[in-house]
This record gives sequence, structure tokens and C-alpha cells, in this order.
Amino acid sequence: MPDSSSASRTALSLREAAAPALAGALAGEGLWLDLGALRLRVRSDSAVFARQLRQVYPLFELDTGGGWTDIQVRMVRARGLRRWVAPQVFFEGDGERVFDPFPGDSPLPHFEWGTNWLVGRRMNHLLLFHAGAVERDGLALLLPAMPGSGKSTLTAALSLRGWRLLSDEFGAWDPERGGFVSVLKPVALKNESIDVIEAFAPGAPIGPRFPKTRKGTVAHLAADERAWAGRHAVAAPGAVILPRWQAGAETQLVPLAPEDVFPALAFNAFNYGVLGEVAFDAALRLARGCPAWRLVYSRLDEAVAALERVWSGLGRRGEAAAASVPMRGLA
Amino acid sequence: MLELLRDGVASVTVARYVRRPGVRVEAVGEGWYAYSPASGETLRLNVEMAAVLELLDVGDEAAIAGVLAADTGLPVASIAASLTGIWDQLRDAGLIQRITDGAVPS
Repeated sequence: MPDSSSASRTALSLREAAAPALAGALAGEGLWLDLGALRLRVRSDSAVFARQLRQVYPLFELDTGGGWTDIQVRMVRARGLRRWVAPQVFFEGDGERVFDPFPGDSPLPHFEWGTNWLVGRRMNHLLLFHAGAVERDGLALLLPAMPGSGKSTLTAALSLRGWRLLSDEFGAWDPERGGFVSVLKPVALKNESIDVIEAFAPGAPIGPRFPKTRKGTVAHLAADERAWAGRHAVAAPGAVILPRWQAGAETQLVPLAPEDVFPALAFNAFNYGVLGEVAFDAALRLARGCPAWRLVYSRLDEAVAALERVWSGLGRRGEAAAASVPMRGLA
Repeated sequence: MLELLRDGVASVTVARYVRRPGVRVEAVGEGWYAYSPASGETLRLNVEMAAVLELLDVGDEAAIAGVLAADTGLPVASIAASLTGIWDQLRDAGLIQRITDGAVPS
């Protein structure tokens, strides 16, 4: 586990570092990205990748010091004549090439998907809900949802309105610490959501657009200083929102009963089966303990405003709000 | 179930089930969920499944049907019929296992 003793900077950020220094680090022993819950070592011989990485990880440190590594990744340019005709880049996770190569001008989406895949497979000391996660007042707001629900868009919007981003993909529950931890990466925006976020927050740090990927056009919103500085902080369970984007819908927040929340957690996690009873207990605790709502929305500003109202009105927040609910079970 | 002759007397083996070791059944709001260590899976239980799991200590299938009939006011035969598939579902899910705890003279 990474050292969580300090959020202060000990090295230049990627934004501050000279481009050759970053490219040199990637081409040499590698760059260590501290995502909060894990440290990722990345190496690459692609100058394109170095540029793109810098755009969407601007606040991360130029850390070449080695040390603990949870996941190792290499973005490797294809060799042979192809590199002159139609350049490609391979993703290697812990030495394995498990995906088809990507066009050489689009290594970043490949890196993002590949590292997410590795996180989902390897970080089994955490229960990884398929959920966005943000934090305020020390409490996590968890947004579990299926792809296409507007989860990442909503997570991005909240992070642009003062909530601390933990992840748009992993609601990472640490059973030992009893809270949510960051898997801090850029928020992956797809298709219309890119324009939606640009309109919602003009000037938001969104990286290059990559058209014609298998998920359409994708772009990445860089994490802000609050998210980076707080990436080692644990967020206690706060509330659960099941978001659903629906064209033309009025904003609706409908309270959910625990029996509606539990399956949304237990049957929507990357490694639930691997963790077994630990995962069962976590889902029980969150379903019973956290107030929850289903959010249907089409207008992002209204959705964020509705969540702000709910949050400010919670009073005895998070688990405390439901602490008096008796826990029943068959012995 | 007619099974064998013991001392010249036909006997019946009573089908009885117990919860498998480590199985947990939890109420979540108005719903019921079970964790099966055999499969590592979590399963949503319907009301009948939850009721049966709660009553396993009562006895065999007939005894459980009797308790539920008394509790609900429905005929035993009706309850027994509604439970027909429940036993298979619970067993297939790794939540219960069959035991044979003695033979009852027919």
C-alpha cells in the first residue's frame, strides 16, 4: 500500500515537468502514478502517449523513484514495417498483451481501459463496486450504475462543483478501513457527455477527443487538486444514488428502500464473488446504513442541484442516519 | 419413501434438510438474501425460500408444511405443493443439504 502520511508534493507535477523528462522517465525505468489505493508503474516508448498522459494526469508527480508497485503497465509501439504504415500501440499488463493493439495516435484510451481492467482483476483487497464515487464532508456519495446510465457524467459534474473525486469507475470499498478509497484517474467521458460537461463547466480540463473507439468518441477529464491532494483519505459511507439518464426526463429523486439498494451493490461489483462473505457483509452494511435515492435526470445542472439539496438536508448524515434501523438475520 | 425392510418391517426414510455450514440468511428491508460459501454467491430469496430456511429446525418437509399451514391458515396440501420446487432451488443454490436422520416405520 502506498504511504498515506502526506498529500504534499515531493516532485514536479507532470504539468510542470519538461516534456523530455517525462518521455525519458517513461522510456526508462518508468513513472509511478500514485492513484491513492494503488501505485501504478507505467513505461512507454511512445512520445504520443507521453503527451496525452501529461494532459490528463497533469497534477500527478513525476515520480521515478520506484518503490511499491501494485500494477505494471507498458504501452509499447508495434515493431516492423507496420510502424511506418499504420502505427499501433500495445497495452502490456504485468508483462502480458491481452488486448488487440490500438492505433498509434490513440494510446491514452487504451491505457485507461487496460488499467481499469487490471485494477478490476488485481485489487482484490478492495471490494470494487461498479460505481462513481465522490466525497464531501468526509462522507462518500456512491453512484452505482450500469454503463450508459450517465454515471461518469454525473460524477464529473459533481467533481466540478466542489465534490472530491474518488473515481468514476470504481466505488472502492476498503473492508479493513471501513470506507471508500480513491482509484484516482481521469473521468472517462463518452460521446454526448463530452459536450455536456464542456457546456456545464466551460474550461474544464478535458484532454483530446478520440473518435471511432469501440465506445465511440471518448475524452478524459483530469482530476483536480482537491482530488489529487485527498487521494489517500478514506471516505466513510454517506449515501447511495442510483443514477439514470433519460432523454427529456424531469429530474426525479425517489427514495429507495434497503432491499432496492442491496442488489444494486451486490450484483454490480467487479470482484464480489472473489471476496465472498466480506463482500456480502459490505453490501449489507451499505444497503442498511446509507440513505439512498434513484435519480432520473436529463439536465445535468438540475441533477447536481437536487443532489446538493439532498446532501444538505441529510442532517444526521450517512450511516448515522440509519443507525437505528434494526439488523435482522436468521441465526 | 419406501426404502427397505428392517426386521421385516417396511420403513420410510424421511427427507430432511439442514442449512449448509456457513450459509447466512439476512433480511434487507423487506427482502431476503443469502450467502452461500459453497458457491461464493449471494442469492435473492423469495418469501417461501426464506420461510423454509427459517423453519429447517422444525423437522422434515411435512412438518414444515404443517407449521406454515397453521401460520397462514391455508391447507397443508396447498402449502406442500407450493414448496415442491423450493427444496430443489435451495439445494441447487448450495444453501441446504439433505440428511437422513433415522427411519420411521411405515
